[in-house]
Amino acid sequence: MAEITLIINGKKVKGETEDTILDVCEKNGIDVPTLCHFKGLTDVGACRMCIVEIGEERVAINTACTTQALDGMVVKTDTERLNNLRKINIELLLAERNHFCMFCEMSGDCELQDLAYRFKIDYIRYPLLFPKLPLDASHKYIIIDHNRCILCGRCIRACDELEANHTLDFRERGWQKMINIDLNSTLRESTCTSCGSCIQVCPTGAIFDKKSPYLGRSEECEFTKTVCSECSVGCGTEIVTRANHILRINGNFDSDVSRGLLCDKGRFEPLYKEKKRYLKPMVRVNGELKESDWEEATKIMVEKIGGMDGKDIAGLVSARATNETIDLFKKLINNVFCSENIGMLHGPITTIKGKGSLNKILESDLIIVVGADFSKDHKVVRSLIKRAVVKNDSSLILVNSNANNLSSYAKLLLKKEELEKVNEEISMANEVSIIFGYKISGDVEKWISKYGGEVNLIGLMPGTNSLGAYKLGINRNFKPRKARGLYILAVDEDNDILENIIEEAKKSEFVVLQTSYENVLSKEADLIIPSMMWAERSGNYTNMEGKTQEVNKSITSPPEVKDDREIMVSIADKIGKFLS
Amino acid sequence: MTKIKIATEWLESCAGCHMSLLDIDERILELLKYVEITSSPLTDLKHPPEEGVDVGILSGGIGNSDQEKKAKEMRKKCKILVALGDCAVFGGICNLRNFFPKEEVLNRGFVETESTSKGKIPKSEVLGELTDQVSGVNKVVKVDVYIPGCPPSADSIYYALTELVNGRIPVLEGDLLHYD
Ligand code: SF4
Ligand code: SF4
Ligand code: SF4
Ligand code: SF4
Ligand code: FES
Repeated sequence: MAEITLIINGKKVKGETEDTILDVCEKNGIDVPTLCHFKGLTDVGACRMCIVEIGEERVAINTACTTQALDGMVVKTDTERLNNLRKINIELLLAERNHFCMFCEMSGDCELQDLAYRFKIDYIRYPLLFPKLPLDASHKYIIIDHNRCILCGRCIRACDELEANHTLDFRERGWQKMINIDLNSTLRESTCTSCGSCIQVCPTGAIFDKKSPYLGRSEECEFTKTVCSECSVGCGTEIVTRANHILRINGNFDSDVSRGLLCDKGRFEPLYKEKKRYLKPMVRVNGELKESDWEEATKIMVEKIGGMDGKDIAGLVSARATNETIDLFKKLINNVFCSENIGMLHGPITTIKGKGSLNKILESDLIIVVGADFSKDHKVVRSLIKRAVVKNDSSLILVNSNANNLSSYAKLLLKKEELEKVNEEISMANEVSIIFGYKISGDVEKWISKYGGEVNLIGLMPGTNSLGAYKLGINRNFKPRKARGLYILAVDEDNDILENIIEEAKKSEFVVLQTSYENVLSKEADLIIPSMMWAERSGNYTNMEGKTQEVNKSITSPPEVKDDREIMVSIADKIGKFLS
Repeated sequence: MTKIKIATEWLESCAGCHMSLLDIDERILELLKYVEITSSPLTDLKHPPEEGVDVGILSGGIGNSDQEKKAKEMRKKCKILVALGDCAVFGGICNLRNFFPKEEVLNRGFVETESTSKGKIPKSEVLGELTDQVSGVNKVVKVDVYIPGCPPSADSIYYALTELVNGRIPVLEGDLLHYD
């Protein structure tokens, strides 16, 4: 790449040889109106808003987003002629379909509307067309209203280039052109993976989620950048809240882990879980859980668990807890309760750990997936693999992987006994990524460790912060038989993880359950301490690549719910020990 | 100083735009120093005076022949015609019926509604006849000033009126220009 110089609006500006005119403008703070352009997606020149005048004697008009910048180019971005053309453009878009903003959920947050305001459009010179177009509300989370669509194609490109799914495309031509779903399917019955990327890139009210419409415009909302707490990928999220309520979860395009992508588990599911929240401590009296208060709860805790011998006490913690909370929990169990018996709710992790990077998957010409299941979590890894295969022509080998939706992308499907067949493929490839699941063992582990140093090695983790907990020294120490007093720091852990320890809990004499919600362990608990849920916590998570990322609270917890760390400190305090 | 004469009228409209006009609150007293409101749906006198006015304001879209007549009358009697609100500007919410043929709309309204028994589509010379589609007023008369909004905010209306009082054609921008 070499430096080039252009004259834009009479001023000398610098760019690079690979830049489009729009890139150069952006680098130099020159504002050019755009609509179909979205950073990170391929530019297609669909909307013609970014038109510029190029040349001096013979002036050509072309789109800045798709025209390569050349050294010495003379460009004008803001002439009367251009602005008149842009105005015509916007008016034609407004006239084409239903852009009656007063009953549109995007009004106030719509890029088309913003442009219409910017160009002071107070009426439309053209006859309105009133085509009768469908609205597809079949999907669980997403609505597509073709009436508001301006055919910019951003959703199509996001579906294809980010999620590598190509569910969406165009059909027909001219003014009959429409967004098409698979072979003219409804979104519910389509191949859509519910990643939600299309919602986030749509500039108008044509694609939106079902939870947040009409609940608040951007200017009334707060935005908190944080990390998804649903699996160990650690995708960057942006939580949209209003008056301490969560409206929406967006992908964070600045996240170097996920670059804007999320999966349905991270984007939608947290907003659809209906669980009973514990707002006050609960104590079991004559077999029944009774509402209590903090004073009594800590007193009982100190009497029951504090009174036991260290070797009879055990602690289990969820990988949804932050590094800070896990660290303090370990200190509480080790130093205050004098017990070494501490472990993770999801059990120990694999001996062999990944040390690669997710982004490198895209650069690999060979990707091997071993014993990994993407049906519940780590779906963004699956998207990256798909993107590598579809967009970069990488080869994919699946070994013993119930990696649903991936088999059609694979060049080889192998059983674990056939692992050795992969060796030759690896020797012939330039860049190799090996992605392994968290249930591998024995020979498979041995085979992987052989390649440990040479390849981009990525190990999926059973829980969000499993690697963080492992680094803090919690992994294989838990000995269930020895737990007379069991302290479970469950935070907002899901039932499918908690189920695994029902038996342990049944055997223990006294079970303390620190949890946000009622769950399968509630029945076994003698004392329940309310805990913060994901959006209320702050701290750090360490993802499966080993990246430690900041978790920021987006809402404030109910008044009676205390920070997990504060609770532990006050328990230690009651016992007469100092915890920090 | 002679006051500027203003007449207003509502067509296919919910009256919201006129309510927004009243929402300029005490500023109306200031305005009345320079302005005489000769007639409006909110005053005793409903029709613009024979000798005409300086500014005519229409809210609501054109949905039947009667509204078309009223719009033409206002145009004839005013020097500057203002389209007030989304309905007058481009049909606004009244446009919803444009997605259906006129016959279907009439049937649904007068015959098929669940609460109607033995309904009939009214037809009489004294009633206006429904146009095929709803439109903004500029489909039947020339408009000089557009104030979109559903309804336009009191600030937008006040700004537009003060500009007119000062002999200027208002140009709405920033917060004063909105479509919702
Ligand atoms: S998509 Fe935008 S321009 Fe169209 S109605 Fe909605 S807010 Fe208005
Ligand atoms: S949710 Fe994702 S997969 Fe589904 S249509 Fe949108 S971008 Fe494509
Ligand atoms: S649905 Fe939205 S993103 Fe997709 S083409 Fe239409 S306006 Fe653009
Ligand atoms: S892949 Fe994992 S971290 Fe990313 S959005 Fe999905 S659940 Fe959240
Ligand atoms: S932004 Fe360049 S054509 Fe749409």
